[in-house]
Amino acid sequence: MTLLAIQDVSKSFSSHRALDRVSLDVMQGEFISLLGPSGCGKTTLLRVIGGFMSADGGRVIIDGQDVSSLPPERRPLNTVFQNYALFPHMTVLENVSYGPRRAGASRKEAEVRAHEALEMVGLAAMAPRSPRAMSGGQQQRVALARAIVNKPKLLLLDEPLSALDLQLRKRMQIELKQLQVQLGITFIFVTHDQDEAMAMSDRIAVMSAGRIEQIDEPETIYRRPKTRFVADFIGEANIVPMQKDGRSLARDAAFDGVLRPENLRVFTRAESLPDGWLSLPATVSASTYVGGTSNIYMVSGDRSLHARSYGVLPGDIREGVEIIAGFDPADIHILEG
Amino acid sequence: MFTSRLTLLWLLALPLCVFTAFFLIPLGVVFVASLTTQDGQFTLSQYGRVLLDGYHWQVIAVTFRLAILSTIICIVLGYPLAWYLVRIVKWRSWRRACVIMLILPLFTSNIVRSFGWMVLLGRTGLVNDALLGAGLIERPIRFLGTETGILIGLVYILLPFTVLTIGNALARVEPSLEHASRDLGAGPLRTFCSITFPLTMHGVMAGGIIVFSMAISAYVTPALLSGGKVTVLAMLAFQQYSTVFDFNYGGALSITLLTFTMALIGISSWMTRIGVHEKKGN
Repeated sequence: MTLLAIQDVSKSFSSHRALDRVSLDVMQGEFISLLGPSGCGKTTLLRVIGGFMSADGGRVIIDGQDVSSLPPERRPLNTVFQNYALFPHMTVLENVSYGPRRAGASRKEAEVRAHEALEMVGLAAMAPRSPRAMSGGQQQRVALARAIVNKPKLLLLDEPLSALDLQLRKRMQIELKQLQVQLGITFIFVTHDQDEAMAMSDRIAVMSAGRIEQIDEPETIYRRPKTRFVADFIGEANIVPMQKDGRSLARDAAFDGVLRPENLRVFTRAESLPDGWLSLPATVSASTYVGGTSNIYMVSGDRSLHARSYGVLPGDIREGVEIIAGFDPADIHILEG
Repeated sequence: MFTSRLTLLWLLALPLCVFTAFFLIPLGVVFVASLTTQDGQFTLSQYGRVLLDGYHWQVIAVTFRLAILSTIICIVLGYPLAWYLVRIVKWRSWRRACVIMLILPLFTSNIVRSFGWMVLLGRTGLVNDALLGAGLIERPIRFLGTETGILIGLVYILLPFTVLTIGNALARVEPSLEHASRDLGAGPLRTFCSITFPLTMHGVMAGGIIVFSMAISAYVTPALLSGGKVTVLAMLAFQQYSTVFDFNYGGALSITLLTFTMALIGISSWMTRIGVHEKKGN
């Protein structure tokens, strides 16, 4: 069932087109990430959905109801803001019970529900504290509790983990995903971190210059990117000139073939190449060994190649050595157009 | 650490000297004078003269009424103005022009401004002419020599202080806090009452205290606009010093004004703190 439908939404700031006829359908209970570099329009899209910004054109439909002209307080959704936006003059409990109070609950009832939400994020003991005296991770949880306390159908999250350190961010990714499954709320998660989007999402919408370039499951986005932008933005990509059928190399770059570094291998002799594999002669320009994986950077003609393998490199692969870069044509993905 | 402490001491020495020489010592002189007779004997009779006389209480009431009303009016007018400057004006140069217009009156002499208002507020002044011409009134309103006239003069001078302090506080309220409030189901009015206003309260308080203390000690504006018909405490004190040369009685009047002012400011900030505490409590 479609919970959120975005239809042809556009938004311009003076001469800059922040959103260019964006359409998107989100299913009930789905975890969707809006992924893209800064300035791609992902935050603008989130603000349009939340009602903090009006679109120049197009419609936002939530649960069959056109909410395009409704103010934020009348939309059936809640938001976790990037800087948490906790009310500094209220305690944690007051922050979390603010939503239920506005929804018409009595003070007592609101506090009971706030306690439940705080328990869900593991902060029930912090209820009487001031959010200003809390760590970033704790503030993040309070913001989350405050956003889910009214049990919205749709939760918008605007880069909620970007201010946390790496360790905490990884832990929160898992907790957030668990919470989403447990509550069954639809999440729309804005991020510029591709690992984060990959780890958590059911589907990822990759955005660039105000458009959605591709929307698919993480694996499809990685294995079969539709555009060069998506191929470069998600993971690393070697671009290899291919024939249209994807079976043999082309002399003039007729079609761009996307090859992930883990699918490119390095051989010292042409004889050791497996049957059916394609190869490019290359010169090693640099190599690194990082925590279990080795990276080999090569130059082949005027293009640079990157191969990644697990384990230590053979000693004879050094800078300046001529080698053969080989790959299975089954691993290559041809970009359309 | 020693060097910084020593440096700090040096840095503080100069302002401390200035503060002592030009503020504490004169205040001490006035205080001592208020407690002595003309020939230097200790006495409380000056305060007796001030506090046991019904006339003085009447003057104190007028003084405080004027100061409290101008504070309230300045806040009520200043808040929307500050809102306009901070939230609505998008064009930077226009905002700067507005701020300059706002503080421009402060560049002219207090006396000149008050005379200006005397001209405007007179029986045949611009204000009455305009009101008569518009058919809003039938007879000219008497402004000069009334508390209303003084109030207009005071608000005119003191308004910039509330606009600037409230504007400063408003600019510091993060828009995302208001967004969060709206997101949680509060309408614009509820958001203002629960989020924006409490977060700008310190600016309102700061502006209020500045306006109140300047209004209560104002001399020139009330003296010129009262036409001798309204008397405030500062005018009485000035009379004693400049005309009667009774420094002891004048000192007692000044100290009385200071004490009442401090008490009122103390009570109001204590009440605000209690209010904040109570909110925290539940």
